[in-house]
Amino acid sequence: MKKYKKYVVAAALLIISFGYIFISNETGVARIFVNLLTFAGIYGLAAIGINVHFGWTGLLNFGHAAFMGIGAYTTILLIPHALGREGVVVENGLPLPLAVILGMLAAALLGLLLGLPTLRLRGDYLAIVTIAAAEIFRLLIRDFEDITGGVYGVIQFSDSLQNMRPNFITNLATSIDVSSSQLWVGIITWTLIICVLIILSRLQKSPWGRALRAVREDEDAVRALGKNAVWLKLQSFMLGASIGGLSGILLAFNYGTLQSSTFVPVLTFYIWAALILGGVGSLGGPALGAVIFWVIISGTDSLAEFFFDNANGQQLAGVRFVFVGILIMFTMIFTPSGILGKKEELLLEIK
Amino acid sequence: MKSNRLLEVSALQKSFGGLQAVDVDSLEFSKNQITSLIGPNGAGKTTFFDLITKFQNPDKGTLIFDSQDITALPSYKLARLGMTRTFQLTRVFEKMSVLENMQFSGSSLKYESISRSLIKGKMLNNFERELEEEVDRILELLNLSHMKYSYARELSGGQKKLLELGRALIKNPKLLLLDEPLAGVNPKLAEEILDIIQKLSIEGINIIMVEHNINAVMKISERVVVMAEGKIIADGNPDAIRSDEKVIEAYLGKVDE
Repeated sequence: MKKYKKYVVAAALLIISFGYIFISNETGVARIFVNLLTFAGIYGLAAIGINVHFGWTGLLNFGHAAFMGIGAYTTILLIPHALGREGVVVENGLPLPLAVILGMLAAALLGLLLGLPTLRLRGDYLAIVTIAAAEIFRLLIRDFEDITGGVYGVIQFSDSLQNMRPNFITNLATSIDVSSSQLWVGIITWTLIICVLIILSRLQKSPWGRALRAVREDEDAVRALGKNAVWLKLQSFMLGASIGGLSGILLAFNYGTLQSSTFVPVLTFYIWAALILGGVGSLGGPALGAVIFWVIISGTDSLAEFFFDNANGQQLAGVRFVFVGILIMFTMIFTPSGILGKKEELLLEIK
Repeated sequence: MKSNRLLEVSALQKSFGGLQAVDVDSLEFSKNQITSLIGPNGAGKTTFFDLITKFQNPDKGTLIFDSQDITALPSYKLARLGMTRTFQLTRVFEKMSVLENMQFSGSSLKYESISRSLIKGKMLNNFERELEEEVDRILELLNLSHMKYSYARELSGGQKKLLELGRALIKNPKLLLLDEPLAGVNPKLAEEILDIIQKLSIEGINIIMVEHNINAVMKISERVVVMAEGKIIADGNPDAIRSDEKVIEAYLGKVDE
């Protein structure tokens, strides 16, 4: 019975938070739910990527935004799109599935390039290098305006995805009064999460997953036993990066526009917050953590009414992250391994 | 002609700043022997171990293992050639079970690839099953069977030493390098470990060990090499070493006459 306790807690948390969203919004509940779950899915997928890095292999990656960014930019620039400022329309492009695969490969390649010189570093050094690399990536994207649209971004690319939307989803969206394009992105996101989790659960139980855990525990011992620790770390880095790339692509389709300012460092830290809430090292934890994170983000508007008479946007933005911070503090105190994490594999004791 | 030499070390040097940690002109280890490396603290024994297993890079010197020049190879490749080491401070994978510790060590590189792991064919499953039988056999030998499913961090200090030994054994090494296998182990378990080491030697595994427990060293070694201040000061069978003046001097200090 004790084994199932954390799942009961997880279910209870979900019911309470969904209940709260339901009660606190008198109108447009469906719309809020679709928005929340779509964002949560995208952040959750990104957190699953970081989980492969940190939870499985012990790599501190603080530059996940760059992997998301390169995935998004590669894919979007390969399909029909228009550049923001001049409105240069590119009508020809690759079919979307192919572009998505190339986007994920680009993210994996960036992981390889970043990993080759840095994976010899340990713990906090890798964290510093990745956060710097992510900023360099974002600034390059911003400044190469001819290709990436710079600060004006990329627009008019959503059709590639939305044209694939089956009619029944459009009908469903109309009947419950939600945005049909966001519903479609949300459904795709959660389908992909399930696919990714099925693949990862196979890998986690495999000799390869076992080897990654050994690297996480003690690299020197791994080397003494004849295994190439650097290569294992590179593989993990590339796999997690490509999952991050996939979530970046979905993020772009959810926003409908693509801008370099999306991939600021704080995006990486929101994803880390989701991962820590959900449980480092667990399979489904990151996605659950992302849902809780987004419940707080969308629930704060009504919560803030207890504190302010007429809250403005800035105050709300502040309150939001006060709540996230408090929740992370409580998680750390009461269940340091996150909601779904294993106590025995508590990983937040960074060497 | 097949040579009887297993490991040849020549002109091996390593210094840290001004300190000459290791300076070994020439040393050979032959097959079918238990060789012990002893010496006072700071003599450079562990550094010597690190150098021959390439955990540290020597400043100078050549290493030849089983007639192959290994000087330029990284540590993990040496391990693949059959040279497996343990550590002075035990390094088990704490948050993995004893079984997983052993399985990781024993699994073949072929099945550890990401693509094979994803497909998980029948061959991989069969390999894993046979591997587990092998693990059971070794755990039986080490008296660790009852801890098979425990996390490695739940083991006692001595049991961790045993697990590390087992992890090395499952690789069927040609040469086993043991860095203080008896350190921090209670006398009864130390006896057991010594028995196991002797048994392995009879089975044909070559063993070089660093150890401070002189009685144990004298009991099981066929050859003893003594180091002090980075240099080899004596080399011979246990009886010769016991009465060697330089050795007594290195351990007890110079006698004023």
